[in-house]
Amino acid sequence: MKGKHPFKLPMATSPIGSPRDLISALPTELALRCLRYLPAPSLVAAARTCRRWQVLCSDQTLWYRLCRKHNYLPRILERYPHSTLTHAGLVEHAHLAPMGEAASPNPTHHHRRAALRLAEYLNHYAPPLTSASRAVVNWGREFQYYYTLGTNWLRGKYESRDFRGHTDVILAVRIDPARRLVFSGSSDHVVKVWSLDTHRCTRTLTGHTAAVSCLDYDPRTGVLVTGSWDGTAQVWTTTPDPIPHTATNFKASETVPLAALPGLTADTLAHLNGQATPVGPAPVAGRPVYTRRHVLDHGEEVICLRSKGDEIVVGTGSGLVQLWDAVTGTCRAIYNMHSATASGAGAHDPDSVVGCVDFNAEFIYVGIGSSVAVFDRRTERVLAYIGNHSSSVTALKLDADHLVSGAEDSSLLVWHHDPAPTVPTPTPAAPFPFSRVEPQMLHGHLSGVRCLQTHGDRLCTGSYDTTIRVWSVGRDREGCILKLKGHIGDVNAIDMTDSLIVSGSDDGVVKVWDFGLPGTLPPPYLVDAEGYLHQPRGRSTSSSGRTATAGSGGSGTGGNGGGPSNSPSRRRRWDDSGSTSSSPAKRRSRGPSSSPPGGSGATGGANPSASLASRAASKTVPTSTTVATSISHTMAPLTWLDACTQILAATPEPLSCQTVYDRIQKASFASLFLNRGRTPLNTLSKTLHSHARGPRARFCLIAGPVSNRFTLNPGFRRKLRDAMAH
Amino acid sequence: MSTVQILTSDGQTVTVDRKVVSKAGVIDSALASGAEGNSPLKLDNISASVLEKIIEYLKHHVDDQPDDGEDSDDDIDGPRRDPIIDTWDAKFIEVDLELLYELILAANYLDIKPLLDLGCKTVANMIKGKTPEEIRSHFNIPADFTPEEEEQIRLENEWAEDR
Repeated sequence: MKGKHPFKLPMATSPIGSPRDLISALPTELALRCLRYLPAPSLVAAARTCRRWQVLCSDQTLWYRLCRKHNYLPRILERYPHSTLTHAGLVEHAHLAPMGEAASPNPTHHHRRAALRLAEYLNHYAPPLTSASRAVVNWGREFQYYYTLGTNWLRGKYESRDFRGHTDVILAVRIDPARRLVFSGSSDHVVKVWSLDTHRCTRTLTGHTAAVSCLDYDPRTGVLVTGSWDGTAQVWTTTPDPIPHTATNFKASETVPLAALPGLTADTLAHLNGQATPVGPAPVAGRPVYTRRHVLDHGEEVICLRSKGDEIVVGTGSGLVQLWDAVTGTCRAIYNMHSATASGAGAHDPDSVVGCVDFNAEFIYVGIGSSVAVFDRRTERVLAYIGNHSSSVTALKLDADHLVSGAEDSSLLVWHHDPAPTVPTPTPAAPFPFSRVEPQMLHGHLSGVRCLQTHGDRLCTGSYDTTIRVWSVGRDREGCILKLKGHIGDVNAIDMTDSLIVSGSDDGVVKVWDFGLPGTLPPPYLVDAEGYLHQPRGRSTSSSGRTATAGSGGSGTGGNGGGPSNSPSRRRRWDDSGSTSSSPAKRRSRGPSSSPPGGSGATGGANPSASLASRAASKTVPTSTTVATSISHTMAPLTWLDACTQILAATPEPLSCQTVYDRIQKASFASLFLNRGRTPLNTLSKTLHSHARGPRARFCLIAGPVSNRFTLNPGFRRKLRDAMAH
Repeated sequence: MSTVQILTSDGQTVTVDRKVVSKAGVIDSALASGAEGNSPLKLDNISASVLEKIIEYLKHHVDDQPDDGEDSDDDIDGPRRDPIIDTWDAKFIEVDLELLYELILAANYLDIKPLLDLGCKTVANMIKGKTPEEIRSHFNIPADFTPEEEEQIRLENEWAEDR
């Protein structure tokens, strides 16, 4: 296109000369350099001008930049398997995950640096993403999803749904985003587990003998902690028992010290948990098993608690804060907030209860009386009381960027993390975070704030005035963006994710406010060594089930499938965006979507990996059991590696370490267990992990939010199949 | 003050301050590698008029501190921030599209990053806030979509409108 009609430059520079198509005339890289200064709406308008512009405007680098500008990057990368993004040397990126929340001293800065490093990496290596076994982020579609989600929040576009079943007021709710579950605790003494897909109560956890006043769930460890006015907190693991053959030995009512189980450390616990497909002695496949691990006896009513990693911090009625170990179930420390006050710090009413609590590695923040006590875990002293609420602090949340407190006087205080880089300043005046920061006060509720939760720059609060308010607490924009009415009682409990708010109220109803776009969350793709696209996380069941029930997928083009990949037009559009970079892998990666009509049509609402799997299965692979047995007869498994290979070869589905372990047991490879180590599951896990690194590895690791699953590398699978055929 | 002679694509020889012209990365490295001699520096794809314009730019920015370079175009700014153009630069870049095109190419070729950014931002500002029809008429682009295609693209991109 360039130089098609060379022109003579006019010497005079008239304001508007003869117009010409500058973008098409410029070399691609320079055209993209111009386009990258455009905001999303302009880019989309530009794409509608002509074919050449459309191709240019679909370039992934542009959308990547926009994702970064809008700060979608951490949220997007959270959903992608870390290993596939990291194995090429991008280790730092792992810190983008919420792990950094508690640990990093200056998370914002840290995120930013990590993002920059990632950017550097991506600018060098991607797009086009040609190398094998790498997660392919479709930045355009990701941007579209999060942008639309943001619009829904701004405009208050949501679907609400009621979960009814509790017989008394709801006091606590928590979301498990990975498995799409909601936990609710009520004055009727029970904890109920609800499915966000079926909208039904899937389990009722009993055991408390008084109202369940608080609960917390850590998605990283899969540990649920419930606190009650009966004076106990109970620790539940929400997964199939890690050692299946001993699982029958204890019932849910028994208390089994977790550390007593062989080979089970906190690490493996975190590693094993979170599987939605329990196997072995689980009563019904697909249902998580809830096992009570510990009863933490406090001797007085539990008002609030927070669980992070292996630590649980519990606040009680008489001003005590207790620190428990979630793994061993032992009390590590008891702090008395009334006597821990450092000299010179503000005093408070000695009768006040601990209303709310949050913590990180260094500090415990305690809402006591009308202020927030900053408790230094190292010196075990209260450094200061911050905040100037005029009545009891009821809710508190510490996240990577803010500390937020809410009180019965209806006020909210937001502390932003100190923007200055945290240099270790030995200034006695500023010994703790937020000491140099003036909190921002938010007003809006007509009555006291009862509960609050933050997610990114969004804050939601529930109040005695029966409403929920959503606030923007970003640096550039503060204020109430949304008011949700629906409850007819005090809103006692609230939790939120990217796309959901779940609230519990005095009216006994758990409400879900869903701002998401049913079935349009772009699945993370993996391109394997063979050029096939994989969908690493098995979201297929949840998303398709959800769409089926939700029913309204928006426009006719996008909403009729389990994911956006099923919308042919949309799919093609974003895939075409790779055409500026016509790499062979990219083009081949469109294989599954453009597979013959029979294949894709048959799978209908399923995701690409499912259609891929069914295609593969329909070709050569017989049913799993036959292969498993046939292999076990033809090849004598001597090593864990061989055993794993055989198990994984038998099924196209990704399997968790636990599942592989179970199947190995069933497939009578029992000789393995006799002579290989005392911790078979650990050994197995190590074997699987160490053979899942790199594009040529035998296995592909598919990272979930808390646990990894494995599948056979398609290249290796093919080889194996060929070998078996001969 | 030493000067440099530059031979442009249309055969003219232009004499410039060395200090000014070495702001252009390519010329700087050419001079540093000892290519000066007595023969003028040949720039095959830059005409005298464009060079003149570029020298005008370089002269004005001759005392600017060089960017630390690395991430100046990668800085993370808010989604709503517009590219900022200095007043003199804005006046300078008020040229017709063809000269703008030449300037962008030349800035890229000569490795003058601030000028390249200026040119690109200017183009972006021309596109920003316009409807597809307005963009077409501004850049004189023939619409090559069929009505069906156009409708489909419009539907696909509805999400980005009005926010």
